[in-house]
Amino acid sequence: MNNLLSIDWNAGGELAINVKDVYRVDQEAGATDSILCYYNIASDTGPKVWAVDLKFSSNVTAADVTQLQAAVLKIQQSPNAMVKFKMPSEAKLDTTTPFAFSAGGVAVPK
Amino acid sequence: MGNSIKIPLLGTLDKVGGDAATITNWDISALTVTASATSGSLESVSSGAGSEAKFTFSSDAASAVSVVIDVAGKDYSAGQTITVTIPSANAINGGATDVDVTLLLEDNMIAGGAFEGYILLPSSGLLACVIPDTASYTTWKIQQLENDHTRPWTIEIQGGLVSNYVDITKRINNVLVEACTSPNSQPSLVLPEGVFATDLFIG
Repeated sequence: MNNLLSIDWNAGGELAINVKDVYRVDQEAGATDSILCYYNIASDTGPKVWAVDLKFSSNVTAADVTQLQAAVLKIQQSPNAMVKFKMPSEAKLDTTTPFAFSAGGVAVPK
Repeated sequence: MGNSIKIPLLGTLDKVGGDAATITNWDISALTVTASATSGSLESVSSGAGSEAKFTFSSDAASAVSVVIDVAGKDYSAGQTITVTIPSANAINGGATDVDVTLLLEDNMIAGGAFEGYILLPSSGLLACVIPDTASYTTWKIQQLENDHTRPWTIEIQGGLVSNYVDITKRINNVLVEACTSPNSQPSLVLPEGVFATDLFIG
């Protein structure tokens, strides 16, 4: 069952991200305009998982991260559903690189 | 029945896989080869809807022939025969008459394998999002995640521009959403006018 969030895209309209199996949402360390969504899907040998880096066209706030995590948990209760999520700061996904994946995934955060 | 996304393809010859550019797949038995010669780019005709492909034939000092696809054309499908006429006056034709060389097309000679490709929703992983190509406007991806590996479905696009990449991205996004949210759905990607998907592959 898929769970999608539709987020404003700075280039126009919205883009969807499937947050099925996302278990944690964090602001990326050292990046003020990125939020990492961690998937409970192994990406490699060792404790690594897949994570999508949501890049925004402006800085994100703590409220953005908190509300996005809440939206992820909520939409996961509705199988095969999609809801529109608006960042409290009104940040929009970056024009050129809205989503990025790390080759081999990322280490599981503590 | 599982969900999937249907990607209509243009039916171009696969220049990367090279099977149409493997001379042993061609019937050149009628050609008397002049050594160390090149034909230049030659037009072709097909027995079906395929058109516009162009080829260059070359020979080495031992008269071994190779072929290069100059233009991949469109609307080709398995079972069609491509015919290239090499005139008697052409450098590589050592005979006194015009000669036809032919290629019977198989699936693996056509980009994406056929007129359409399918992105299947995985049973154990997920399709995560659309990643647009905002640099060359030729390669869009739908990112698939699974245990221990990633499978980026790659859609090669012809006709992508700075002026239409947002529209292309939103259309791919829309079929992804439909396939992920509508039970038993097989949405078909409809691209803007003048824009075509030429290939679909994982990588």
